[in-house]
Amino acid sequence: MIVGEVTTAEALSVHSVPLLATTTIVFVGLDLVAVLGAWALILRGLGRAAVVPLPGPPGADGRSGHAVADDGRASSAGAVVFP
Amino acid sequence: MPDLSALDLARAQFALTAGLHFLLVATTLGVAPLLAVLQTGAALRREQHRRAGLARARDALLRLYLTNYGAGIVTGLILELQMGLKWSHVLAELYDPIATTLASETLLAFLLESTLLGLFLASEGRFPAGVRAALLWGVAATAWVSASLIVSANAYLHRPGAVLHGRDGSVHDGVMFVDPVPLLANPSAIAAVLHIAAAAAAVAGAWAVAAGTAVARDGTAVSAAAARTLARSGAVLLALGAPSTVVTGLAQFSMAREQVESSPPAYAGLALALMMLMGLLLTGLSWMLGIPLLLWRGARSTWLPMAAVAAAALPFVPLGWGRRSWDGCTGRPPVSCG
Repeated sequence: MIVGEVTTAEALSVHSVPLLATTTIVFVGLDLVAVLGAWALILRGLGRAAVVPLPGPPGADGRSGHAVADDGRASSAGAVVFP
Repeated sequence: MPDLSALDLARAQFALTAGLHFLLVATTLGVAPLLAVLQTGAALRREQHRRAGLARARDALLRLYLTNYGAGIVTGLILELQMGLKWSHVLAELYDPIATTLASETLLAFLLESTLLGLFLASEGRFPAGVRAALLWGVAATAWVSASLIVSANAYLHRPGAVLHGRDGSVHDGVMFVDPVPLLANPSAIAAVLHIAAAAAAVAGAWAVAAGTAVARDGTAVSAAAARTLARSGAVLLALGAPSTVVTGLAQFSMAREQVESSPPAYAGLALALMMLMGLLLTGLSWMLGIPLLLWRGARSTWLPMAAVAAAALPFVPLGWGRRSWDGCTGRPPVSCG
């Protein structure tokens, strides 16, 4: 079952516990910044209103306050913030 | 403080970084084909309002996809850095199959996939919608080929026999990569790809439902149509993906037993049992929510987006938990769990 008689322990090339502990903190920290940062952006977008109404004339959809074009994006009178 | 050995730490490090990376990968693998379907639908529809609804649904998922894609690259680079720094002995011994698969994956993921994605993003209003749909299908295809290559590399480490023994029954002395078919057709890799496909479908479904409820807050006819599309497609993906994940995961157990010489530690068994329980709960929840989501008309709601956003996180719990617990046991590159 062993590939080339290499066990997991033998495959490890770094055996310094302080070095491994430090790199674990650094690597996992970087990962967490990336993952949590990305998801914070996503959840912020999902959680808030898709359109922030701005003052303006009635739009193509007939609602006053902001206009929405056919493709769902706001016209110059409104601002789509999600996506 | 527990008395950790270097091996324990290295395994924990790999389990954590692989688990975090996989959370993002599951999203992009699941959402990319859904984006391609939505773009294709928008390209084929002649009615303006239907096309606008599908385009709105696509845009709602697109930013989500891009954010995960970027973070996935960051966590993937850390993973590769770790492989090179900490596990270089296994790479030296088993170099050829690992090097070729990782190099091919890098070319596909970083070169081809990113190029196609960039072309799609830069081509709005310049390329026909059909061409842009083809670009998104290319993104989805390269993402899956890329994932399959990585899984093949992982499967090779778990089940090297199929690769080393060759199709003609000869045993290679040492490792010299001469035949790609056994590597790519490794049963362990195929089983893992099926499991990942099911999990990615469930994750994409959860995100689609969450995005749909958020889009509905526009309150326009176009956004309501987009919300319905997202909620329905998400409900179907969740209802099919969640149970398929459980089934394909169970199918992997017999293979896992073959790979592990000694008995895994007790905590690994407990973690896997909890993961299975979470998978079953997710299946039940997805089926219970399926009918209301299919019937939902895309009406605005104050509580629904919040509930959907919370629900979007559910598939990640068993995903991250299972990945960490198993990798923590086997500590990829795992040759044995003991």
